[in-house]
Amino acid sequence: MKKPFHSTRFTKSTSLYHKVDEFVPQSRRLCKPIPYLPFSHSILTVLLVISVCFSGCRQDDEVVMPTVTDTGLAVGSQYAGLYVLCEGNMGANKATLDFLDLTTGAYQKNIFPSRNPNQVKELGDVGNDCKIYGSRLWLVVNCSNKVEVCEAATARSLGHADIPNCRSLAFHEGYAYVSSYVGKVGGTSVLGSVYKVDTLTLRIEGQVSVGYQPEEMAVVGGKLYVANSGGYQAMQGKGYDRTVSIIDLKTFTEEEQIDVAPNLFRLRTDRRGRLWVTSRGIEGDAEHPSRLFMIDGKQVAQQFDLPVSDFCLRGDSLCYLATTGHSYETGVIDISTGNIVSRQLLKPSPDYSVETPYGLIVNPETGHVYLMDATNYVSSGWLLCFDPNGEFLWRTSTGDIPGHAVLLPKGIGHAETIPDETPASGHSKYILAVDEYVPAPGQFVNLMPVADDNDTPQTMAQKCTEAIGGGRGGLITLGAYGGYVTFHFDHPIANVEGERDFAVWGNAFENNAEPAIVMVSQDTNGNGRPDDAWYELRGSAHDHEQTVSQYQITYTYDALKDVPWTDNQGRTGSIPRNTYHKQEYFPLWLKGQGTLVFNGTLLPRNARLNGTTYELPSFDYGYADNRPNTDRQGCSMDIGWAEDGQGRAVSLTHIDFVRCYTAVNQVCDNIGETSSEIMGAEDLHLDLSLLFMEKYHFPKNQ
Amino acid sequence: MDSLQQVGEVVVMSKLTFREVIPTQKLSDEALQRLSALSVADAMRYFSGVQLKDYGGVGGVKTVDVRSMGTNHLAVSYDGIVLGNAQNGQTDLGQFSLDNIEEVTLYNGQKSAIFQAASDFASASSVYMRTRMPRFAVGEHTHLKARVKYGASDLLRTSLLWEERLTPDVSLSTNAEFMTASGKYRFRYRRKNLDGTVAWDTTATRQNGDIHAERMELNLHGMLEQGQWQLKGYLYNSARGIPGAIVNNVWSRGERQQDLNTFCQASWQKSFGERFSTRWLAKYAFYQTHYENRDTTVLPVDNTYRQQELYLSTANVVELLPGWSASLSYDLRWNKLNASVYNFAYPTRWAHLLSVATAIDYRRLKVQASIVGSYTNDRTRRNDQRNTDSQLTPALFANIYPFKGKWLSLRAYVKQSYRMPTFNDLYYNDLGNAALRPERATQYDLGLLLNRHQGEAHFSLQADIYYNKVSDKIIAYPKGQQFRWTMLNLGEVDIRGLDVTGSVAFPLTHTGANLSLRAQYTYQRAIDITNPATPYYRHQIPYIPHHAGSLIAGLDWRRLSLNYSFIYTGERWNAQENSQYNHMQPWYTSDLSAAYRFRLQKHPCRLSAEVNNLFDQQYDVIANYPMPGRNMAIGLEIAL
Repeated sequence: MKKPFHSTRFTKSTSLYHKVDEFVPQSRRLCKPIPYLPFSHSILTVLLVISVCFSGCRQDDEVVMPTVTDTGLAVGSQYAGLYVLCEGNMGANKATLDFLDLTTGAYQKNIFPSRNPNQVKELGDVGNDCKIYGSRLWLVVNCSNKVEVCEAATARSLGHADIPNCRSLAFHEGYAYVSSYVGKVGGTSVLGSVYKVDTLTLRIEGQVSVGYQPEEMAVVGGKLYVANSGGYQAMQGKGYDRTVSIIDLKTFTEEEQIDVAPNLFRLRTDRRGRLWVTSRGIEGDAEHPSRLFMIDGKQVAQQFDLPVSDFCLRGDSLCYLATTGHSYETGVIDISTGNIVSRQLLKPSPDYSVETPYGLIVNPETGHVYLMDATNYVSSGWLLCFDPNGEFLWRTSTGDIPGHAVLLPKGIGHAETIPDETPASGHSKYILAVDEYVPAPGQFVNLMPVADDNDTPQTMAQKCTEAIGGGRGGLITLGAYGGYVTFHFDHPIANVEGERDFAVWGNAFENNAEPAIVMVSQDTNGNGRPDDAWYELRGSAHDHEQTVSQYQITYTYDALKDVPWTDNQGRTGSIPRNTYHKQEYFPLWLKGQGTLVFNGTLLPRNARLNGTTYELPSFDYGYADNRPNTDRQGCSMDIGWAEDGQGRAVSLTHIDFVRCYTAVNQVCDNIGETSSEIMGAEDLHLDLSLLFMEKYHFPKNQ
Repeated sequence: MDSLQQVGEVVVMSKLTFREVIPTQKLSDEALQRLSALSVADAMRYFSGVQLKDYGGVGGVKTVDVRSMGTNHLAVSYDGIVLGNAQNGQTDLGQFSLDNIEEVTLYNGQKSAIFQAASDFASASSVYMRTRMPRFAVGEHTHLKARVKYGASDLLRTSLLWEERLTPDVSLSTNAEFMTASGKYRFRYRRKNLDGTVAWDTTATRQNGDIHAERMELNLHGMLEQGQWQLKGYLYNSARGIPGAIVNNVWSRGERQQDLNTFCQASWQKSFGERFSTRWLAKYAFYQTHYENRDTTVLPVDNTYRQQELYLSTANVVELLPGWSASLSYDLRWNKLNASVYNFAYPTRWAHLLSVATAIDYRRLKVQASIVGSYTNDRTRRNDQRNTDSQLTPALFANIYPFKGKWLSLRAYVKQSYRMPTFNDLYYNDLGNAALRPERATQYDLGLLLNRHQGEAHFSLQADIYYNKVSDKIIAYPKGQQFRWTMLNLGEVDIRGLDVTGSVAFPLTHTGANLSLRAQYTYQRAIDITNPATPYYRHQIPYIPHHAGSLIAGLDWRRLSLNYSFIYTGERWNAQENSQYNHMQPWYTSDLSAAYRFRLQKHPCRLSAEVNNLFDQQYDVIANYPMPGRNMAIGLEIAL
């Protein structure tokens, strides 16, 4: 992985921020001429001149620009920044999006209008949730009855879905689930519902009725769990809802409800597949205070006598914010034991005070804690930052009522794929699922996607699906030489004579190619698994004299050290650690096997030194992460290039699986090892593939 | 005479009964007609020190804030008796038609006459609306007048006035008005990029602003020897849509409101000789508001609020020595609020007010001092604590003519007042806080009045500087949990201002025309001094401009009268922080009207036409509530 990956994509956008900075003071224009008057009396004119010009006249309403402040602290991590969604008071149309740039420490207040200057009436009224899925940032704007969907890297809007009184978001397998207070009407009671939205087309694909006034949701094991509050019911004297609705996502119906406590609010899942739910309780009723519950297997397994209003999971630590009246407490629960291990996560200090604590988020990598203070609800709030030990670092002014935040991972590029219509066939041209993900060691391994000790090859494949499946445009790393990913589509891709058949998207740009060899396979045994014969697509560099066929490399695990390797050419070396990335470089879920062995074709090194800067020019054609995504032809592959292990061309009617592996073994000093990144893949002729499928009666892939 | 001058009282009374120390701002009959204003709220915009909160359109709520002290500090009086609203303490002046109003008067501090009800001493400022009193020329016994007006937003209003002299001492007047409007008007929002290109530009039609309203009034006026009495019945019924805020992706809403406001009141006033006068007032009011939300995307609401008020008052004044008089007044007020709302408190309030005042008139100096004591007792059906409160608030007014003649007068006053927390503040389900204290206001004012007559020309100038302080301000504040509010006595506002009103009227000799001009300017610095730690400390409070002004120019020539009025409101902020994100542009509108008087088969007629917002300015008074652009209306009035 080269260093420019670190900086370049984001310097593109940060340069925009700097430009924005200069515009902060609003320009003042000269007064317009006094309007024509029907009376020409001099006294009248004099009075009018006095009355108009003592203060000034109207100017054009201009698109408001962000206010940039410097928090003075850049945090190096896998995250590029933190989006903070500020609710804004109801009817004020002041939902605002702020962005903390972790790489520079700059805090940009109210970035949405200037990023989306053509959006009528800006972001809208009362922001209620924000999440990133794939390469997109989803913003729930409650009183504007919509979910705004933006490019995560830029906050530029790609469109919105109209959902009345929408509340919270959850995602699963290419669909967004949005809870809404609007559903079945029964007398003066209105049941809530969950809307299902296609994350690509933003089209509403379904709606299912749940309990009263649903709030947060989470997906565990193919089921969607929904916290029902019943807030409106209580206002009408009918009592709060007490249940969590369970929705089967296959049938999209409500299966059952679990009774928990009145007025449920937060609902999140932990790494152990359990649910954490908060109740806001019944005000003034000592028997039903606000509480935190852990649900395991449809049962309330544990109750914590803490009035938790927000929490954030970091590994096995649940960092909570509990509020009673105007006092609050922060602490940590060890979810592996269920013990409260700290009741003072954030250390008090005379340097700060918090008026109305409203939200909490923890950087899972660095442990920095961000606390949102909504002050008096009608003026700007505060974002406070604490170090992993709970020491106060800084605070900065936010929009009105900051309450929701999401971390922006690095490496989420601009989505080159824009939402398109799902064909009537119901098939997608994008990746359906990732089958295998076996990266070689590298500085981005265990970060893209994030892995921990509990991950398995299966969970990692699932994470990769969530990143690069369905045209979501997330990014995964393949690590150094040999690391690979295997994926399939929901249909076979036909080999169309004389045409490129599919494209693989990466993150290459000028002089920054990290080529991966593309392989294809047919599911000849029909078991739906990529365990059949593999064929390599012969790209332009396969003919190079330095290209080594039947190359083999072996990496050996050495915890938190440079990863040593040996190859079948008698060479040895290592994947060196750097100061930017401090996690383990060897895939955590594979460390048990001690070594990683990869076989394949080794392409020649493409790096060259230009002064003190490394350049990695691309090969002509035929590799993934070799040409920029904007070079559509350069990213496109022809199944006709396939050859067998002996270099003989093979003729394939279609393919079922695609594999990409890093094809260069090189380390460039400061920017580290060369490792391919994959952002997605696309069938370039879906219609013809489907025609082929129909002709030969292929079933739809699962 | 300029219409802003004191209008002589019709009824001959003891001199004790109308002895005002400090002149006021007044718009009377003719001036009101010229402004072609729809409601009392529209007319109030021409007073200095007044800020109108206008949610736009015919049916939009319109409330008034005087000298930045907040709407709740203003008492609105209709034919001599304060209109109470114990529920939220605010009176929607948009509901009061100008159709039969003869005079609208604004008093800063209080009406500086000591012969008045105890309530009249209690507010920080007051506006008095007075309906037309029938006046009959010798031999006349019937007046009939019909009016019709048609204008933008499909506005149609018709009214009928019937005045009858029943006996030489008793006359009847009835007035009925019907108004309907679709409330639709085009509005436009636009944003430009910094390079001047259009970022977005959208025009839409205001929805759900329709209204129909009926008003009926019945008055009996009677003369007594050295006195008068009046009986009044009032009924206002309306149904309207509440158009709501225009926010991203939301262009119409489904809130509806029906109001039924009725009251009957009686007054009786008599002087006994030159040295003692007494006045008795009684009123019963019943207000019903039905609010429903038909928007299926939000909490379904269908609530009815019923408010009752009973009011009894006596005011007595006696001349102790020539030039020295004293008064004693007592008011009893009972309020009750019922609502079809879950867990409603059903509050009842008894309020007693007792005032003692004295006035000294010594040569060129007039001084008045008053003190009001109040005792309020609330009860609810819930277990809220029983709320009692007592207050003592003094006021001192002085006026002097420093030179011979009355062309210049100097005045000063200092006054303390308070406003009781409303039923909503105290008891509204989760929001209310029964422990609230009254919000207090202290006012200091120093002013002058200059009056010059020269032949037929007349010139006057009033100027006041003032300092007000509002403390224990009642505001909504977060309760700690996710988006819940409560009411707290938290807030202090420091207000310094300048009001200037000037008028000039003179004949244009060579043409036979008369020209009158009136200009008004207000400077206000109203800053929040609650807490130095907040980012809005010492910032201008929301919706109060630093600069505001208006201008009215009228030209009468034979049967034609033309009027031009201009209103200016400077930049404001829609929230506590004076930041670019809360900034509101200044707005200024020009209205033009013309009227022509003629006779149709001996019946005097008046035909009028008006263009409002002549330059089609697109503006918000309240953020996200667009105001109408250029709009027109025509009207016809026939006296039978």
